[in-house]
Amino acid sequence: MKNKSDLAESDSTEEVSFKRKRGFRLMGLNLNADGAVKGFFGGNAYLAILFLLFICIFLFKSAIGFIPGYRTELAEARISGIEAANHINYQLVGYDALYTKINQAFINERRDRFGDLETVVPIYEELESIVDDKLEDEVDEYTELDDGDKKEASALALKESIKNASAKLSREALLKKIKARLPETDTISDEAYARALIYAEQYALNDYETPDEISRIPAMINEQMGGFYKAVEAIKHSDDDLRQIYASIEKKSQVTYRTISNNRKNQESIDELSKNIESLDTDPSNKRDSTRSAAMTKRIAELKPKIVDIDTAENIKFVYNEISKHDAAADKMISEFQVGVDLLAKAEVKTEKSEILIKESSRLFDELKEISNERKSLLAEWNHEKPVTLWNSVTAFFFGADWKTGSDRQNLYGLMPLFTGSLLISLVAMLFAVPLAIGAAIYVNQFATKREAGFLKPGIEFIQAIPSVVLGLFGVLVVAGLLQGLSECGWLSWVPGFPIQDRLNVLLAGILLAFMACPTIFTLAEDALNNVPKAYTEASLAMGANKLQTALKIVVPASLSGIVAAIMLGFGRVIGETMVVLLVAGNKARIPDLSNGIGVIGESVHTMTGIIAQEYGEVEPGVLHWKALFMVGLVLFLISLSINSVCQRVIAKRSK
Amino acid sequence: MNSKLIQLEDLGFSYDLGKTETIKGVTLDIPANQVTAFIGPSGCGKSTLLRCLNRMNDLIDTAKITRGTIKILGQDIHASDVDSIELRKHVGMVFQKYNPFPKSIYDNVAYGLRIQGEKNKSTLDEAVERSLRGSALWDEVKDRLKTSALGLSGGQQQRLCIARTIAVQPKVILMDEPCSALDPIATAKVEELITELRKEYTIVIVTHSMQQASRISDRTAFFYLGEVVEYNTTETIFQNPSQQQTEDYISGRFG
Repeated sequence: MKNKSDLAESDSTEEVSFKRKRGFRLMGLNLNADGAVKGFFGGNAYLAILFLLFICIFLFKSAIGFIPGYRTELAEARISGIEAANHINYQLVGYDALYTKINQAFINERRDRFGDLETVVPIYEELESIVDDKLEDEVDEYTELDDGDKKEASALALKESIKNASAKLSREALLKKIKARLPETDTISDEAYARALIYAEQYALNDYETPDEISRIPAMINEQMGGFYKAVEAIKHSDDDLRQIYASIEKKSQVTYRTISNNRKNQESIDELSKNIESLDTDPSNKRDSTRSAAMTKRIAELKPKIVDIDTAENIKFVYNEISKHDAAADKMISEFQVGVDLLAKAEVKTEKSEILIKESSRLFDELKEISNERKSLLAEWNHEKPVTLWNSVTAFFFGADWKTGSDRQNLYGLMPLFTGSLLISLVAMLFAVPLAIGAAIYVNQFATKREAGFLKPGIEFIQAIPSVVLGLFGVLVVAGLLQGLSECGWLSWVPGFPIQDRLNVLLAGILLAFMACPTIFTLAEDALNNVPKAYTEASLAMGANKLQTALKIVVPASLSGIVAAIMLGFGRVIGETMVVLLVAGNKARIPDLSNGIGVIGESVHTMTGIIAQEYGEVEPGVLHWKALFMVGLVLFLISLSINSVCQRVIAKRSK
Repeated sequence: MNSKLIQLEDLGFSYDLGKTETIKGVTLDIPANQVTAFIGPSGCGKSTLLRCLNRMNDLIDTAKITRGTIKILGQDIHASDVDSIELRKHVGMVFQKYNPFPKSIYDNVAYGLRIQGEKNKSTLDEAVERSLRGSALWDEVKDRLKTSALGLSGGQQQRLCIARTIAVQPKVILMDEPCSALDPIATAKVEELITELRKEYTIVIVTHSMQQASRISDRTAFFYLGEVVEYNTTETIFQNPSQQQTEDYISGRFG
């Protein structure tokens, strides 16, 4: 060891300097290589933040004009009376949903009781088309062979003769076809099969006249359905008066609305053009641009006659007059419906499915009564001069039940159908993805041998590399068909929502998105499991716990916050996914019918991401529709942002 | 029987499937209800040998017993019908770095019984109290059994680990340098505890501290390069070692 004097000697020389080394001087900054590299890295980091800020500002700026703009449109809809028509329409929509349910119950019951008889009718329809096709083919063949002038006339003559002849000649062939077709319908009984054969024979011999026995079948069935049939008949036309009032208000007010709206838009263009002309004129540097200003003046002259006078007073008088008839019509609908419902209660129902549907419909009927009363009082208060507030516009956007765009009618921008669609798909996706991905992560981290983990981990992570459009196409072309086929299997009928009505639906989108979210959740969850100190595992094993007990009781609980964060980030990924949902969700912008319970997964929906991708190409920049899409984008952005920040907090809490 | 609770017979062990032996033919008998200390310089294989006794080395893929046998209570622990999990229920282990689970104090102590399927609350309560008293921790934690074990001091955490181990009443407790992460006061408490535990359990302890070995152990084995140089009563080893190497080591002339 050196002693003190040695140390002092070596340090006291002038070779040692504590002064800062001089670097390259630029604009008063002392730069050196380290500083430049540091600056470059720092710049990159700040650039990312800057970009994020830029996106925020851009989204806000583009969306900000939406609320006042929508307010103007809502005010125009009110003044022209569309709002009143909508009040009536809500009742009609409620009626339709209810009628569909009851009709479904009826059809189901009828099929169950008279299914074999019913199948006879479509068999005849098919026979008819078979014979017609056959004739057509023969005539075509003939006309192709004959290139002469009188082709057509002789063809017709031939057709007549073939028709007569083939009726007898092809009888056996036709019977064969019937036999081939009949076994396909498994509900048919021997009796009905024999009956169909007899009818078919008669049919072939009767020169394509449908036998009376056949044409009488539907009426006969309805008669035997008794009270049920009467109930459906009573309900069927109860909405006629209301529908008529709706149609007349709608028709007239739409015209008014369109005129008012176009007038405003034209006026806005004129104002803007005049402003531009004015600025061109006053700006001395633009003197040469006289052609531009002339063109603008010409455009103004074109636009001016397009602003037409409209008598809103006359229109609104008509609307009020129609509204005065509303209460009676609404009451009529309810009372006639009540008659039908009473009949239904007494009617004989044999199938369980119909019974369930009827039970549901009685609940829906109560709802309809409520809707009707509510709308009645709203219509009584309705005043076309009541101002629309900004708050009305905000609630109309966030809680609006309709997203209807692209027609020349009033556009409705209601977020609810898109939001519920996105949420529903994401929830279904998480339902599949979470157990799958977490299970896989636990297996790979805790149980897999090194070789297994060596292909499982990269394999699962590779899913991330599949372009979402490819996955979407695969979903549309392959999985959709498979899923629908599967849903029609009898032994799966206990699954809620099966058999699926819409080919593209929530379940399909959920399954594909679950597949997409798996690698995200898997990787993060596996990381979290991996971060559990090995000392815990060792301690647990040394206590005599087996691997499964150690994994479930020690490792998973210890990494729970990380797993939760993984799940949430997966959710964020799913709710922001666009391409797959655009392709497979069915894109019907309506609030899913939650009264079906879990069966709702069989419905088509639209999503927030999907609507932006689908519609943004069709709209002109700056119009209200464009701004509405940005509002949706903003909402989406805020959702993702909040999910991410919650995750970050969870992860930060864990690392403490 | 009592004098031979654990019997090692020409044991060889390798970390790399037999290419090099870390333990080279160790033969020794460990008596019951005594504290046996393994001492020796770093890398001499004493910790490895300790981990052989409850087959913790099974967790390493390339680890392999190359020769010899280990018998505990007369059973060969590497026999094909021996389940390492059953073995570890009877051969508990306390690690160098205290490692209570991120659970409550109560759940930590009850863990061993719970994984064996014990659900009865009063049985668990009883076992937890007995174990905590046994590890001289009861008075310090009885009012906060439901709070996280990670809130205890280092010494308390290590004693909790001991409580966790004795909760399942094993035959043998293996301790791998249990005091190396503790300050002198906490060390003194743990040492006191070990002396207490000797009455009921057979303890094998690996230690780097010669003083500790001499203070708490009944018998001491000195390891060097994977072999037992000397194995005798602690008194003999420290006062009258038969081997020169042992004397050099304990007097601090090498190591």
